[in-house]
Amino acid sequence: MKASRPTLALGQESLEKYKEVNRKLFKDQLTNKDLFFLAVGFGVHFNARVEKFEKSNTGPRTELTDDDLYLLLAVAFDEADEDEMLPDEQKRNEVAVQYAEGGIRLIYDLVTDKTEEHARTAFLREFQKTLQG
Amino acid sequence: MRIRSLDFQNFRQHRDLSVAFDSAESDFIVVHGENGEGKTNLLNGILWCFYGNEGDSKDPGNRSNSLVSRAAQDDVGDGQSVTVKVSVALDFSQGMTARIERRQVFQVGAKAAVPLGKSELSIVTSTDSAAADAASVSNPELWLDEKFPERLRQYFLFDGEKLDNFFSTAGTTETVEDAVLQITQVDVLTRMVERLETVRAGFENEVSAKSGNVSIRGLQKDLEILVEEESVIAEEIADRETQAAEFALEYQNIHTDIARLLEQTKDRSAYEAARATAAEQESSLVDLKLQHAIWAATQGHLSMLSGALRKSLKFVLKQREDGLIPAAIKPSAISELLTSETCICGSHLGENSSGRKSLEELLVRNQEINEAGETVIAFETALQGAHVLAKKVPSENADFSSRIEKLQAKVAESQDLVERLKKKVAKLQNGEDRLNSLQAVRAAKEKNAQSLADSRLKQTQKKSQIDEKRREFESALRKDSSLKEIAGQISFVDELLDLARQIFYELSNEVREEAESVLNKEFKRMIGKSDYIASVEISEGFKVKVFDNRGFEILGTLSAGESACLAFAFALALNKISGFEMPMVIDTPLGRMSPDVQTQVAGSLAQNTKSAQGIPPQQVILLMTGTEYNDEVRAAIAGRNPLGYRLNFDVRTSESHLEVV
Repeated sequence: MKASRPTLALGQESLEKYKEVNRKLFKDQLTNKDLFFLAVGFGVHFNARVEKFEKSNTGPRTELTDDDLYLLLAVAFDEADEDEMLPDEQKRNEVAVQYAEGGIRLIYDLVTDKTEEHARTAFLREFQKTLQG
Repeated sequence: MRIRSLDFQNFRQHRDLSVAFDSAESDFIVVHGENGEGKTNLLNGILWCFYGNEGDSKDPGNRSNSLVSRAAQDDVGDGQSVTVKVSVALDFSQGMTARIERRQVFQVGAKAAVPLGKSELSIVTSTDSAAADAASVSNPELWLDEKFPERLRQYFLFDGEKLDNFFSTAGTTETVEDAVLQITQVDVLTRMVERLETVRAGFENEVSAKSGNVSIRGLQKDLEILVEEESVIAEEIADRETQAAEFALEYQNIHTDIARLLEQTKDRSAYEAARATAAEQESSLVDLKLQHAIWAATQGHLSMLSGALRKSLKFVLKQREDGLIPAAIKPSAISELLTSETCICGSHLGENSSGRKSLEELLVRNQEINEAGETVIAFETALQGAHVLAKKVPSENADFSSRIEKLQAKVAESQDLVERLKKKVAKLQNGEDRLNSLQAVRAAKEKNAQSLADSRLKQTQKKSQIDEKRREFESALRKDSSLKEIAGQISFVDELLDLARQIFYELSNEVREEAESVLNKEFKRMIGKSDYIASVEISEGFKVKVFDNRGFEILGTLSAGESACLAFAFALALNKISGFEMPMVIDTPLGRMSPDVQTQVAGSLAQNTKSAQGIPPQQVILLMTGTEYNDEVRAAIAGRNPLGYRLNFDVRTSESHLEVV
């Protein structure tokens, strides 16, 4: 597959959530790509896909590597039938941003109204749960 | 003076008790028994014999009918009489002896035994122990008042648990002053002064009644006003002196606290170091948690996507099985082999060789791989890489968690240390507060001292005004022929008053200094810490002060045991300066002390009352409970060769018996 460099459009209302999560949990040390994949991970693990939401013009693009795109492809393929071929680029992107939207909302709920330290503790506790099952 | 024997008849549980303390044996006597077996009633019996009452004995039953033995009442029946008798035989120095006996007849009734008339006191004395010239004393009460003044009994015949009252917070100065002046009988002068003042007032009233001279009445009125004003100033001075004493004590206590707290400054360094360590560890913990969170975000998401990765890899494997994905070969490497005409195994790859043909077929098939196949291969590579990373996530997470847990344990440990040190340091903080208090007290103390000085100056001025007015008054009296005689009498009383006041001042200072000297010596001997306790003083205001070797006043910080020792030393000092040579009978002497202090005090008491340098031993009778008279206390007083008695109460007969141990 030739890697394209798409804009994975984030939810308009979630842009501030990404910023808040990055500030409180990671002291602004994560890139947009890191945050996007974290949101996708949470969205997939907790099955928190949001199909309809207002999209923005912002999202990870140039920083995405081929491996990143293949990972998103795996996410999209996860819902395909056994004998189906690999999803196309549009489908891949659509599925990824929907999971990311659900994921960022979950993470934001963990950190909202908490101090940095408490937010981080809550995030790590939730992360530990993902490893247990 | 010593008690030679005691005889009790029908006195409470001592229905028939007789004991002789043979002087050849010992003057240090211990009577021990449990509560209710009659120890306190031995003391009460002696008090009743001497004074006809039991005073402020701790036994609340200070009623005459309760004196009668229950067993005796039961034996005689209602309407019959029972005689209660207590007899105390005394030996004085130079061979004189005396037997003091008090008896009281009671009529036994259904509910109580009623005293019939007053108790009778009789005393028989003799100038030698054989009593060859025994004679009854005609006025036994007067005789007793000379030998055993009732007002002094609290210093010789007392409940040991009340000893610390001498130094209780309220009225300490008065208590000590009263004790020293009473024991030396200097207080008689106080009463004399009071009496003379009353007499003088009577004369002045007489002048007022008899005199028709207006100017004399005016002078008398002026004098009265001045005296009244002086008495107000005197009250002010007394209040300020009390305040000054309180300020001084508070100031010294704070000063002592500060000195002690300063010694603990090393705790502050330890506290600061522990706080710095804890803060550093806490900061490291925050950093580590941040690292963990960042790692979880950048690596952990692979673990969350592991389900999708597995499914995709399964798909790729199926593609391989279906032949869509070729074996992993490199076409360029095969082309190189064909160009070199030599296989990696060394076989010749000539034009028509089978090996060459196989490789050429392989290249052809490889070229047939379609675009989908390339994608799947690339997909597989990416998935494999992600899968490897995802598999590492749990162990790396466990590593982070373990490091965090260890650091958290260290933080908890440090915080615990900080808390422990904080409590110590809080005292230092308290020390800073105490320093502020010290400054406040010092300011108040100085202000009070200034007011006191002002009041004293005012008093001096007022007194000189009074003297002047009095001279004027007396001069006017002398000029009036009808009042001449009274004037002379007033002058005489004034002279006596001056003299009595002067003598009182000199004597009270003398006995105070003597009491101080003996108390100092007795307390230091008793406390056994002469390197710590520097001195004990009784100030001019009769305030007892204890100084440590740094010059700090430490009365307020003495331990319970040290306070008890001070009180005992004071009792001994009173005894020694009294000149009465009275025996000491102490009930529950060690009751409120810890075991080690009991041992120390008992040992000191035994040591300090034995004969020394030609002075005969002082007789001491200790009435102890079993708890007080323990093995350690026995060992401590063994050197004094004590006479031991045990009281046993027989519940069947309601009588106590004394047996020699």
